[in-house]
Amino acid sequence: MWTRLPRPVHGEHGEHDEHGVPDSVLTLTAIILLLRPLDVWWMAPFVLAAACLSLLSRAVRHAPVTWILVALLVAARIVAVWPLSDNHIYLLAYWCLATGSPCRVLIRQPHSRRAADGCSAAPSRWRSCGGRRCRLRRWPILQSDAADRRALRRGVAGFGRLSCEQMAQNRAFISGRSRDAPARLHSWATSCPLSVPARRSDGPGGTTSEPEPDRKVSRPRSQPAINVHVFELSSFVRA
Amino acid sequence: MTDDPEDADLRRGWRALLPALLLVVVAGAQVTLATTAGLSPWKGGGFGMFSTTDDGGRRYVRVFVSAVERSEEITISRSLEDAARRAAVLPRDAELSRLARRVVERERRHRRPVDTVRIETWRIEYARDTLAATTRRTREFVYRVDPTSAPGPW
Repeated sequence: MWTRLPRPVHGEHGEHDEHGVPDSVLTLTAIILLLRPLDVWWMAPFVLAAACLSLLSRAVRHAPVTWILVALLVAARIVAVWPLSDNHIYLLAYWCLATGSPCRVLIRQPHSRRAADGCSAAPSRWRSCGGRRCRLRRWPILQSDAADRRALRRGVAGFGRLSCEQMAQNRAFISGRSRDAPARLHSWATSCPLSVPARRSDGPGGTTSEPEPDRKVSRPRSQPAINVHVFELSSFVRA
Repeated sequence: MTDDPEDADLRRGWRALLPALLLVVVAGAQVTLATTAGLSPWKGGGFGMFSTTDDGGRRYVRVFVSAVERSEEITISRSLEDAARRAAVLPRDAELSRLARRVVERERRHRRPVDTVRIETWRIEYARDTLAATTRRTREFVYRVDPTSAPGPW
């Protein structure tokens, strides 16, 4: 993520930096920084200078270090005037930090099947059983293929205190290599109060039906049986 | 030594989560302070401005100075404004002591005796049905000046 300041900008169409932040977002952020009174004399010149340079230079604008520095300066301002800052300045700090962070991982695809399988090709320090569990639980959050719910489906494989064999069965089922739902996974999916369990999409329109609890869920290979678009607001409200 | 792309993704993933984690931590601390220490819900990184009128503008402090043959309320001068605003927004002992020390310094600068500084924090509240404004004292803090402490060079 770290780039040298004069580093040329790369992008498919010249609109996004390497982490997928649109140029217009960065420009508008710089304008916000210019317009916002920051009050603290020893910090404001640096922020204004960074904002001006960002507006003038595309390389500066697309360098994450610029936004990380601005976030740190704004955070220093928050500390300096504590507790008088209202939430706008906090949000500005979060925003600058997020802009400088590699947000692209939140929307990008895993680059290999190994990655999708979590621990199958993990580095050596992850090869222990505990490491696998930890990785399986963390991976969906970090890799966040949340746009198509893969992260949650993978996350289902790691819930509860499972043995490595049970996790392997769960992974096989969720990734489509096995047709039979492991019993414990099935019981979890049909009893979790936060979920709309084991919904089966019958098409893009999404008519859904609840499975019978006693039956094993079977499905075509191309279609996940546990479509975990489960963490819906209504579910949370119900819980 | 090649960098495993999975490791690189993992590291980037943690960094991408940092702003959200920071927000959660700050919001949790703000809620704790607002609940336990009287922090204004508008301040400290919370989102109380969407739910309450209890902002800094509706809080104020009154400062009373007493000494031998002296007991009076003093006005908040420019040199005390910052400390007074902080004390009003977050009326903890630390902020109130800070304001009291500033008051003592100012009184000594003007060669006025001071033994005790009493600070009251007030806030404006609105009736639920009529929206009538009333003031309510939220805290009283007494700071006793250490007689052994040497006055400043003024």
